[in-house]
Amino acid sequence: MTDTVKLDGEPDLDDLLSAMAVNSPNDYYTLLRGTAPVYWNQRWNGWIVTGYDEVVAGFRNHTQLSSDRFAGPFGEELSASASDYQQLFSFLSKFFVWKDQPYHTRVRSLVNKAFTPRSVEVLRPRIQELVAELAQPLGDAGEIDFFARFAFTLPVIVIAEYLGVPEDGRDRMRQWAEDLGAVIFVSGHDEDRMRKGDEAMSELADFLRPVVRAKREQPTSDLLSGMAQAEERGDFLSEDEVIANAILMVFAGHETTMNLLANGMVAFSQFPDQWQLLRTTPELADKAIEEVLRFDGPIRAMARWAREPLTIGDQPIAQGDRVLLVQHAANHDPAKFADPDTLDISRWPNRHTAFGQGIHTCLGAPLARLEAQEAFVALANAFPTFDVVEQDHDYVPTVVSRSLKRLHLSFHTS
Amino acid sequence: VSGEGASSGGTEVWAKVAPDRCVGIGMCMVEAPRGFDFGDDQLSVFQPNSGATEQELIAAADACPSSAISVLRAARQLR
Repeated sequence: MTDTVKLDGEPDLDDLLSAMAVNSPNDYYTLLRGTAPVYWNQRWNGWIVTGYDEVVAGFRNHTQLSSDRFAGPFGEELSASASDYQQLFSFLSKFFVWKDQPYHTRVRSLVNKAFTPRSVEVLRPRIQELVAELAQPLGDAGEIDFFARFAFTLPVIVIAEYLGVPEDGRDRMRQWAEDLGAVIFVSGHDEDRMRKGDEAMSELADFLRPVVRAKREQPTSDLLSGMAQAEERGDFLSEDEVIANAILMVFAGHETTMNLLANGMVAFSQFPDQWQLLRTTPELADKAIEEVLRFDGPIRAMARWAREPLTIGDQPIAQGDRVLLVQHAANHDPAKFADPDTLDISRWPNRHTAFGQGIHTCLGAPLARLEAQEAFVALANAFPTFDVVEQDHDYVPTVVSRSLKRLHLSFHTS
Repeated sequence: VSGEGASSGGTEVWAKVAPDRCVGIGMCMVEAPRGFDFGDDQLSVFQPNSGATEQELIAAADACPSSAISVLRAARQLR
């Protein structure tokens, strides 16, 4: 990461990975939005959308703005390296999130029922139990690695149990997820990262293939069985499609929730009065989670490309142009949110864009909300105060995610 | 609310989409293709007198990831 500053001392607005862009996104996006809410970035070679109305309009426009990573400008980039990393690209190309209509909605509707608020509610008692088990030993234990002890562990167990993934793979899951995340979230294609991503994908697929086959023969009530049976009924999904989308859910089911929990703790450390408010008013849990998602959600931005010419706000976009919809910027647009850089867990209404909008809105949103509610309420209830060990927060330099490199906390029981 | 008129007879089943909850995912259109369509702002709009059945509308309400849909017959809330 370089702190790119132009010779005249002005920050380089075209550097999406400058220290300012990565570590102080609110400052960076304010500058971008002030220049133009739909801004042409020479270096990224596309439009950076930072105004709330413009970001929402972009998300809802699935007919003109494509999510297909294997076509258009992103496809050209990927195809250059696809032949070297066949496993990786074979499975990535089957991720339904990176598809357009009608395929996207066909697959989504097969798995949607498992992720509605009504469906995930059955997980609440188990999540409460896990949260209590993980939180209890943190008290007065000195400095703890919050990722290893809580933020990674909770969501990975929840999604693995829900999917029906056997326990023996869970320890390896974090490394696989990290290696895949480096491919999915980081732009550019350096060889080491691609090779690791390719290996992780192969290992995950090898791990899941016998599981999927077993579920097809002896289905249980979990999500993998549901997908495997859809395949049995001739319902569009091949074995590789089931495996690819199981990998997607294993990955998406914990990587983002993990970062939501970590980012939330940092947010509460900056606004300790809000921690106290949550502690004394746990019925604010629903609103608090929406506010944490708005304030510092795990996803910064999502990329699209223009299938046909369109207009976002006042800005004409040409066919084939890349478009980056910056959720983090939309969520801090003062035209939409009063006092946007203040964490206010009573804020309502709070129509943030942390989960996106439109047909690609996060499938796991109800599950993420449930896990985060239970986690933050239990932690606030158990620990009146906590300290963050790191003086400065160091984030993984990516355009699309908002993930801390490390987070150590000490929780106090009094 | 569109569709309310259809309920005035008392027996017609109808649905409401809460505009502050809907984010336009479109799962309702999969479950009840006749009952819902995207409006100008790309959010879901209930289509009254479309022939959508009670079963379809309830399936749409249950499938909604945003819990944005309520289904009613006369004054009775079914979902």
